[in-house]
Amino acid sequence: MPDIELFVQSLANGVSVGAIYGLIALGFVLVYKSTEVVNFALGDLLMFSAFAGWSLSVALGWPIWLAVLAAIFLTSLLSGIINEAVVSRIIGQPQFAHILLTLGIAFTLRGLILLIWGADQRSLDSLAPDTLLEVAGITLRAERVQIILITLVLVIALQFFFRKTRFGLALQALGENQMAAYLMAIPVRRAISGIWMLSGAIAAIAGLMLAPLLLVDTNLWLVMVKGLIVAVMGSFHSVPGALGAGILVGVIEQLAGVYLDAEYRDLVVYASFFAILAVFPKGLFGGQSAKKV
Amino acid sequence: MYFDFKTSYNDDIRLIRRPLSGLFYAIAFGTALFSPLVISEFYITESSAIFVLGIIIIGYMISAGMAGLVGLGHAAFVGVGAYTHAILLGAGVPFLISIFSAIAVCALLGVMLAVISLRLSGLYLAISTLIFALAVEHILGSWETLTGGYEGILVPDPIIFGTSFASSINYYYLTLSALVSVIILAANLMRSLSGRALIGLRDSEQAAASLGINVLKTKSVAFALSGAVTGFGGALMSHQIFFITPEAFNMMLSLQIVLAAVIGGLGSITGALIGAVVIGWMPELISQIKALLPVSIRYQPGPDLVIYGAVLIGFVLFEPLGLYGRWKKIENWLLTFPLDRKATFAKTRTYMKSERV
Repeated sequence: MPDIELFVQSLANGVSVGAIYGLIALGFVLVYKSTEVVNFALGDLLMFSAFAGWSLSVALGWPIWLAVLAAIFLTSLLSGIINEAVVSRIIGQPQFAHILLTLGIAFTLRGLILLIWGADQRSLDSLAPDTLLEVAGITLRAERVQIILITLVLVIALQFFFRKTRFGLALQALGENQMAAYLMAIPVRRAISGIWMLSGAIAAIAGLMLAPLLLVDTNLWLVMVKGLIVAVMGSFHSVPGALGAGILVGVIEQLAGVYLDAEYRDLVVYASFFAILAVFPKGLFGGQSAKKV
Repeated sequence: MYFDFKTSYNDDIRLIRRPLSGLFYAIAFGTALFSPLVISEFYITESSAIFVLGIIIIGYMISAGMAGLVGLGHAAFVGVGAYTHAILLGAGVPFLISIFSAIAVCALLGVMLAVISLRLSGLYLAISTLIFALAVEHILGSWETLTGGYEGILVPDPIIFGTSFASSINYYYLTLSALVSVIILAANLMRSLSGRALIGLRDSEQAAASLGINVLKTKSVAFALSGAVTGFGGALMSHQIFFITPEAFNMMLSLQIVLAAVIGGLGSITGALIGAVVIGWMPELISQIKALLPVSIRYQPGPDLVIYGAVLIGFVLFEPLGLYGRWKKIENWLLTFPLDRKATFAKTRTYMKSERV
């Protein structure tokens, strides 16, 4: 394969993987924006969606589109229940308590997934047909194109939702000041649960798109780490920031995998994370903001 | 609310705050000193493991509990301490020089982490330490010429001035003396100027800075001390696992350290020790619980995770101050016996306080 083609090919792969990272980061960003909680259980919600999708489509034999929709719905519901049952109880406690609580939820969820499905590896089909597309001399798998398209549509829809719709604006107000939002008759508790469900649904979409690229097993939650890196790089606030940082990380990872040793792929990502944080402590897309005394 | 019945200014910085607690420390130390004469080999080994865990958790407590720099990656220090010690011992360096080099390397690593994350706090710090630990684990795995990669390396027996400390009883006294020195170091640190600067940093960075505390320097000191103590624990730990691989120092260990600190009670040395005892006995406890489960799920890793998670959730929800906080409440009830009211420790209603402006 000529050099330039290899480069473009890995660039495209990087963009599609990065789009998934961006989506996971979005799952973090949405919850953080409105409640200042980082949901460390997101990786396990993602894993749950992949296992649920496998159970519905392979074990029960449902058509794949129905299984995917049902898995997204189930994950979203689970995320909402987690918020209602556990996380909403400690509103107002320091951030550290939230980190520990969501870590505890992550352990429990991972343990339950292990108990239900076991540690075997499984493979999940993708929604997209298994064909190759030829775009301007570069061959791409339909799966990868579908990932990029779905992510783009989702990000644009979310952006529209937050900027233009009543509920989206209410959620933004919630992110600014919960007390004031409550006084403006915004149903704070219900809105937060809604946000958690949305975040769960996005994690599920990411998981169901990622699972066909990898395998469905109990290490799938580790992709959460990449999502966290992306969320920090994208400054934890903006929706397009998460996508941009996601694509950056995806491309860095793929190029490092192709041009350096594949063994150093993750290390290069970690190193670039620290390099970027050293230069931009607020992330790449962070504006000016100060901390309260 | 907590009442401290102080009668002089020195009460604040006294090493032993109450005569009663002095008696308690003496009893605890005496028990630890003489119990190997009566308990069985199994319990001696278990106890030394708990002592080492205690050192590691006190190390974590120095940065998380005192300076408020909550990290999620202390397994990196444990790993680097263990590897440095094992590699140097393998190269024929005497035990004491090797262990002090391990401490120095970990202190340097702590300074490095501090430099990387000086401008970060709270959430970003937690995430960046998590990533830092992952990167260190990765480096330990792929630097094959030095660390032996994922195949691991053998740890030579601890020999100090010709005396072998490999037998369980000798190793018990080695770890006990290490733990006691670390406790004294941490207790003295807490009442010294630099230790109080750390506490000031935890309570309000801005207030500390306006009182003339150099925030950047103090943060580096916190990470260096924390790294050094944790690395010391890691070096001692390497003798327990005999054969170290990078997987022994993965994210799970970092989270176990955090879990122990929370269960014990963040911010106090006693809490760290309680946490070490609980986490040290947790695998035993879990295997007892698992014995009650049906055979099909008895040998899976699933139940362990569920129990760890449930314990963590339970403590955050119901006793955020940990077991030490619970003990404080009981102690307070006893000390103020007829005066205690239900509302003394009642939680006030809280609303979300934003960390942003």
